[in-house]
Amino acid sequence: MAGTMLAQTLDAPRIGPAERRAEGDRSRLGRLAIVVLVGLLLVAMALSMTTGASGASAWSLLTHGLGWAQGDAAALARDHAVVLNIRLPRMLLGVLIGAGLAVSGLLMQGLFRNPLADPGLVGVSSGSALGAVGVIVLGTTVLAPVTQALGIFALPVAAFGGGLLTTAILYRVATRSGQTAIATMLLAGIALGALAGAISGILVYVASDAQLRDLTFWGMGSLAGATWVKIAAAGPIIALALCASAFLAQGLNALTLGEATAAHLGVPVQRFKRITILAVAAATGASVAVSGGIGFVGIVVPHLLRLVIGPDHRYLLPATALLGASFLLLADALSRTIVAPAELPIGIVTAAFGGPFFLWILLRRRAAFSW
Amino acid sequence: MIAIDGLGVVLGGRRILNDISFAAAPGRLTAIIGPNGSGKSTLLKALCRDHAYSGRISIDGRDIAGMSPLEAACRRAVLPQSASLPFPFTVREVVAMGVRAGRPGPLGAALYGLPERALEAVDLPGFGARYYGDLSGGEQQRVQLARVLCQVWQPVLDGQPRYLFLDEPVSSLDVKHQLIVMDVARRFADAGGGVLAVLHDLNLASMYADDLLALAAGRLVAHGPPAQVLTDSTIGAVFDAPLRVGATPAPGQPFVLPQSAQLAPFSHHAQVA
Repeated sequence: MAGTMLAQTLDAPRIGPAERRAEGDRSRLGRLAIVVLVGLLLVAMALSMTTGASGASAWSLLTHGLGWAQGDAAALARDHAVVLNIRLPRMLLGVLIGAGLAVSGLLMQGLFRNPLADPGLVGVSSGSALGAVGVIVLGTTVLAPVTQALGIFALPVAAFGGGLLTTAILYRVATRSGQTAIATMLLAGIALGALAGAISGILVYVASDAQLRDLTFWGMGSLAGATWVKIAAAGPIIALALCASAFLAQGLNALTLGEATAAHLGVPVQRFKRITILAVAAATGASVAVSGGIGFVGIVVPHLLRLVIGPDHRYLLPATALLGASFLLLADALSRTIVAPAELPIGIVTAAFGGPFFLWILLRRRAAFSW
Repeated sequence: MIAIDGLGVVLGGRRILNDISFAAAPGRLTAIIGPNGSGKSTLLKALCRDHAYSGRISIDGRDIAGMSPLEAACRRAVLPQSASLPFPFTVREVVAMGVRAGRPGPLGAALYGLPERALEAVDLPGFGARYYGDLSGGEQQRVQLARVLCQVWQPVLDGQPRYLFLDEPVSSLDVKHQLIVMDVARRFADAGGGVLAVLHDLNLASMYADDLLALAAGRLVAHGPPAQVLTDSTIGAVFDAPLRVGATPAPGQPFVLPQSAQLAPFSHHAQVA
């Protein structure tokens, strides 16, 4: 009897420290935040489905469909069309793009080890836009074989290519032996963004009237033109980038200690950086291709979450995707209702939130930065 | 056994290390000494594959050039000179990164308390919830050491020794914590692991190291036990200063040596799982 007792004591797992939650371990908070954010996203999705100019109600459609209520057949058919062909794709596109932009901001911040890095700020979005403008303007002439071969994917793939090129150049310029110079990164981003903007400008200058119309609609930074075709074109690319990013969390954590230390911790740093750059370019490029430039999502969302749950990417990554999607849906809902029946481009709404927020980050961190 | 054969490093067109050959056995603490710019840190960085090098470096017979980052992380942990973090991690989150390193797959529940034990070993108990960025330089250095210890907590794993590479581990520490940190390194070696440390303090090197490697101008000048390396002629040549070993200052001029510490044995936890 005594022997068994002793054996049990010796074999028992060390539950002493493990039983007690360790101080400074925020993983439970991270998990809780993810659950809460899933709830928030569901609410935002429901709101997005039920707000709009037409007064069509997804709820009434649902109750009719289930035979709970009777109604005018013509109104029902109209509601059906509005909800399925306008609101549903718009909502799904909002989820994809919100998550894509927020996560690409987070990945970029991890890669550059800097909370101010964002595809919109450092020229990646401009590079993506250049790719998209190139396809719109040259798609029927110089690039005709490419657009024909890629079909609906031509625009997102070109935007991806533009974003990839910009990110790669930026990384080359701003990072030396594993250390990213913040000032160099921002300045190189401005230069690359200006260059891409200039080339886009030349393309716009030579564009035909019909192309100008396309460009204007595309560049407004809006979810208004959401269609199932756009979702089919951009959705898989963004989804792929999001899935890939799920495997980057541990590496991003290690990378915050610096590239050399990340390698010492077992991260294959060069390969890791390449995958991260690919994911950023894919998510940004596909988002820009279908919705134009929507700024600040990639700065506001990760930063806000870091303040609440800390910078551990295992929780920060999924939380950022969820909050990014919710944030964009809510901003979209606001942009549709604030001047109804007209609507505000969503880029204005996100910039109105993001601009002051960015200044606030700068003020808070001013003491910590020496540049 | 870390075996280095004909190691050379060229950085930015300048030759930093020249034809270095030596071996460091597990169970021993090897200290690298030498003046600024003599190539001490570069030597350690070459061992970590941070720099391109010529020659051959092997750990327990395996050429490090052929190791995956994961295999290398499993065999050795590296303490950098200093590390700043761009994001507000807590101390525990930083230390826990070492638990993940070199351990692919799910972590056992037994590892959960490891960061706390590592923090105790470096005399930072209860610091887990503090923000890393709020700590002093010396405290940050010890947090990094705790992270490194988590990575290779067992000095011998499955019959294979593991190694600690420490780049100036006591550079920002007060005397007491210099002793605590050197004790941690000493115990790691006594338990069968290997320790390679860049040290500036010759007294600490003499007190704790089994072997000294003296570098000057990128060349290995002397290699052997402290009594053999710390001689007037060797030290004078290595540091280009007229130093005398064992000479006491004039009477009435106080001096304090780490060897004089009468601290009670620190209550460190045994090196287990």
